[in-house]
Amino acid sequence: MSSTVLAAAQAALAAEHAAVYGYGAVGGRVAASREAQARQAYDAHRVARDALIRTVTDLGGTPVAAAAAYELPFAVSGPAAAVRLAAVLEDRVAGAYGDLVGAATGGVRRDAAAGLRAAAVRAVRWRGGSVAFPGLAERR
Amino acid sequence: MIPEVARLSRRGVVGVAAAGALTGCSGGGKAPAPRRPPAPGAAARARAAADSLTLLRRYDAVASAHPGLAVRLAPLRAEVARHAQAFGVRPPGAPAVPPGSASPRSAPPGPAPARSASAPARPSAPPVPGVPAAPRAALSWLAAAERALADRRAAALAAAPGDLARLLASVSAAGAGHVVLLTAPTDRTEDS
Repeated sequence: MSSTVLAAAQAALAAEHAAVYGYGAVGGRVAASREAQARQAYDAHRVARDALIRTVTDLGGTPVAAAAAYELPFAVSGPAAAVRLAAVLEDRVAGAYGDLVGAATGGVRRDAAAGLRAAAVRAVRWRGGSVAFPGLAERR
Repeated sequence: MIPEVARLSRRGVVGVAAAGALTGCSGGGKAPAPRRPPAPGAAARARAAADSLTLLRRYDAVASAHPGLAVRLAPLRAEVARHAQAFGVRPPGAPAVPPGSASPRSAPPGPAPARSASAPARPSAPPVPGVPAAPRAALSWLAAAERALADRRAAALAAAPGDLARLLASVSAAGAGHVVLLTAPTDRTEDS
């Protein structure tokens, strides 16, 4: 049970590491009018990452480290691709938080649900549209 | 707000959901099966379904009062209908498109089964009082309902079984996203 929670928390942490990295690419390419939005998201993911490091530690685990580099799902060649990448990053984070909600209880679950909600809202802002079941890949 | 309507409809749906949960083990045509403890999360799921149906009626009420908003609301309404389905109830189809709008009886939202089209004519849905007269205020009214429900679901998931908690978290997040879209300026369709 708690090993499931720990694994899900580690996966969420890995997703946050990837998001922090990915937003570096987003921030470098996004249109000037959306730089502030990218910066806010980047900051939010750093905060969430640090919170998950504490969560994993509290659960008795050794927090996974960030990779030196991540392969981006597609080339970020301009502002439109940067926006698409931002939305994908949020989708991935949302999925990891959804799994953590299902695995955890108590405060860890509550925080994961808040993380899912924040990611979904950011994805909506990037896309200008919504999906019915953020974080649930099987219901897309 | 609309306590009477909401309460009545919620009860109705809870009844339907409970009956559905029992059909698998009852012989049918007999006296109701004796009560037994419902499955874990059954009440929370029924409540969530009823909440989605109530929200759906609000969308329909706003689209009916403000035909100019119908197109903008359609994708959100479709998602709310999918939420109701995910919680175990079959949502009513979109109401007839108000006069002046394109394509009467447009495509049903989501993967609704075709037989819903031939279902016995529903009496018109109970009126939803309180739709503001100004379109912008009506959108804010919907956004407030979405936000309140998203918050309630976020609270409810704490006590739910894992799978239902995950679903509640997702639907709560979707509702929060709807709030963003309902309160965004109309010309905000930025893609890059």
